[in-house]
Amino acid sequence: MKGYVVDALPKRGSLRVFLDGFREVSVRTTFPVYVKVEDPERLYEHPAVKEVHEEDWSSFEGRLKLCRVELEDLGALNYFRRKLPIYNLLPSPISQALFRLNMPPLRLIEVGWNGAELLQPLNSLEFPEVSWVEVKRYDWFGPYRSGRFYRLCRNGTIERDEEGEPEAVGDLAYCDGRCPRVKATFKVEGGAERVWLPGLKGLMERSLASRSLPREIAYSSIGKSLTINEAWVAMERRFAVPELKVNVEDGKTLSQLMDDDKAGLMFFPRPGIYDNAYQLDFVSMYPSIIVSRNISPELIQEAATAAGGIELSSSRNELGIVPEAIRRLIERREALKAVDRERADAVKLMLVASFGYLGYRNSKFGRVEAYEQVTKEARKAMRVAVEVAEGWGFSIIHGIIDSLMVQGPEERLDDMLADVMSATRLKVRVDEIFDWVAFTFNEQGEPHPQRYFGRTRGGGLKARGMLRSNQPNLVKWFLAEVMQRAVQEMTGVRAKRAVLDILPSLEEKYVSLSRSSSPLAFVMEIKGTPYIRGRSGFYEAIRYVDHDPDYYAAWVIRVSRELRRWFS
Amino acid sequence: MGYSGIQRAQEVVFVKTGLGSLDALLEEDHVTEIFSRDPYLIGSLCHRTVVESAPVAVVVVGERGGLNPYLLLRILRALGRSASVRDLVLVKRAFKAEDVPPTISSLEGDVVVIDPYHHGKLCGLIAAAVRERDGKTVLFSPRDRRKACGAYSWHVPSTIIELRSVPHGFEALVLKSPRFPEMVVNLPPALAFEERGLMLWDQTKEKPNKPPAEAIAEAAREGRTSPCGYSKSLGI
Repeated sequence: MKGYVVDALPKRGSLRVFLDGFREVSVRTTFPVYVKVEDPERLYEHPAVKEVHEEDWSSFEGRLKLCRVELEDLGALNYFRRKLPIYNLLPSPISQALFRLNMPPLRLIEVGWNGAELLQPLNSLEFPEVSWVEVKRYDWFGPYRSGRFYRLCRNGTIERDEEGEPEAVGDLAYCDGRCPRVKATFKVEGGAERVWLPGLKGLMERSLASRSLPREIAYSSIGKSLTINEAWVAMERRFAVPELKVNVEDGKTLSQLMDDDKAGLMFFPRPGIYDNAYQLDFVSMYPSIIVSRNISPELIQEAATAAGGIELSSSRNELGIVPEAIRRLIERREALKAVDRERADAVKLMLVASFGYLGYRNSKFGRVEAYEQVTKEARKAMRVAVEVAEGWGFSIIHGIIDSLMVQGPEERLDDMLADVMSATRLKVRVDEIFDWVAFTFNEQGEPHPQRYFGRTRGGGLKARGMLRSNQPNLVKWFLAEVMQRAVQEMTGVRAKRAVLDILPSLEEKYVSLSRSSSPLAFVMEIKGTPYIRGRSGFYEAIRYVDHDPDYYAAWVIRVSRELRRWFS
Repeated sequence: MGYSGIQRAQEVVFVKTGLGSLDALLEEDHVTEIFSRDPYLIGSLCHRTVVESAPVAVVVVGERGGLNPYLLLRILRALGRSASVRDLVLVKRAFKAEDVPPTISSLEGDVVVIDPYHHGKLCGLIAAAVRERDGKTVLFSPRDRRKACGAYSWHVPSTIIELRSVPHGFEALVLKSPRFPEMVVNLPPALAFEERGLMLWDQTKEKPNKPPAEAIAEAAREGRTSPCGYSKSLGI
């Protein structure tokens, strides 16, 4: 029987494996659990223990002798957790059992009397040919879990878009809200899941990348997929990961703490409009630093123990656990970009979280010194990039963490980039070329480092931080219209003139709309919930009651004044 | 001086707050705890203690915050200390509850621990780690310790002091001490350095006629206010 593993549930001595098309097989297996115990023979006293194997592992504590206990009943795991130190709980015993059985989740397998055969390589880019259904609910004002309308997509294509209660059948399903009439082998109903960008397809990609069942990662943060990925590398290297990792930081003097405990480099641009600017971007900067500088918690621990100090281990031939896991993700993402952008974005999310998890206190592979090394290297790389760019005759107009905006001779751009890449050992690309870019500022003249917009070389608009979800739609439309008008001009000077000409009439138009417009204009999102400001205060926008026109008019006028300031 | 310098200096260091009356209360103790329901108050005293006691080791417990290096530098400047003191403060951070006991145990000599019971769990293990240490330990807790963290952690310190704000200043309520009865000690208003202005820091220098310990004990016996402004005992 050929199929894809969608889910699996443990039973005594076996696994109930659910394939696509609602097919089911039962496979005899035991579940591996790793414990540290003085007297392994005593483990047999538990009725669920079938076999015990002593194995040598390494760990954060050094060399370890662990017992791999093969359990017939996975329920016994809780008993052992209470009594003994447990290791290697990620990947889960179910995932480990499936792997041993050649039945990794969402991979094509063939199940026969002799067991299962994997018909695809483990790192294959093929997407499983299963039926997956997504239901998103919405109402008159936009996405809403209890909305009256729904859009049902099957395998990424819209199947239905109507009012009422959705009905569907599939192998995997995601419902943005309750949907009792949607039947699936694996179903997630909204409200319980954590990170859901970019959707069910993203979850399936994470399941493929981390070789875990979708059920195991659906209700956890992105860090779980990432940690499982790292744990697989650790298992390959026989590096045992404890259930709870205790960290004792190496002491730092106050000077060292102030130097090390810093975020990425953020410049404060001189406000104004700049013509002919180039936005350079370090590609996956933090993950690339982790890989290229070989920053991994077990290597830092090793260095600290051996030499009494922390040093980078870039001279080692073998990558550490975290850099190796991230390298595989980077490779997978690069390969997926040509195949499916959505899946590549799902892997990108894991990469984005990889840096944060390196410093997270509860992370199995977290160590704050590693995190600090990464930020230090990032700041250093930015400074080197600035020096190199200035050496080539470019002037720096802004920088945010992993992105630099420069002005200078276009004919030298490629050479300058090559020099930056050589000096920093990181990939850099030209993310955008602007005909002009504007950096905004507040009433006191202080720049907003993370708010800018400009006209791109193709005549389009690129804006960051300008349209925010906590602004009413009316204000967002006003800003968007002004910016769209501005980018019709090829130079900053002409853009200024155009905006100042049009601003009074646009302001009048939107102030008048604040008195009478469609209710959608007055909706704004506050902490994920849509609200409208009514005459008696804010209310949830489930049904339009009224709105306070003075409130919205004042907002439009305030934004208009801001725009006048920026374009003067 | 750096890292190894701190380890050498810890053999002779004495953790002190810089306030004579408080230092008299805790100078001979192995473990002292100072708590307050006012986190600003306890934070200010804690930062001042770190500066006054340098070279010193500090354990900061919590996910974020706890120790403000820039406030330490301001206090350094206000007290006229050399900036090289920055290299005489050794900091270790314990982000989760399970990290706290081994972090405390990893340090030798005298230690200041900021918010040891931050997570509200493993209090017994944390208190045990504090108790087993050889050097002097001063704990600062920004919570009401009468209600938090159990009896064993209350038994471990020899002296427990509660800091409170009162009109025109602060007071230290001595709740437990091997040498002094339960009593209230007035503290000068410029305990902190953030709001009161640098000019007021001079008021923190006290000029008692007698050594502070004697003055407190005498005032307590006679039920009067000493020249240092210590208030009456609570009548034990």
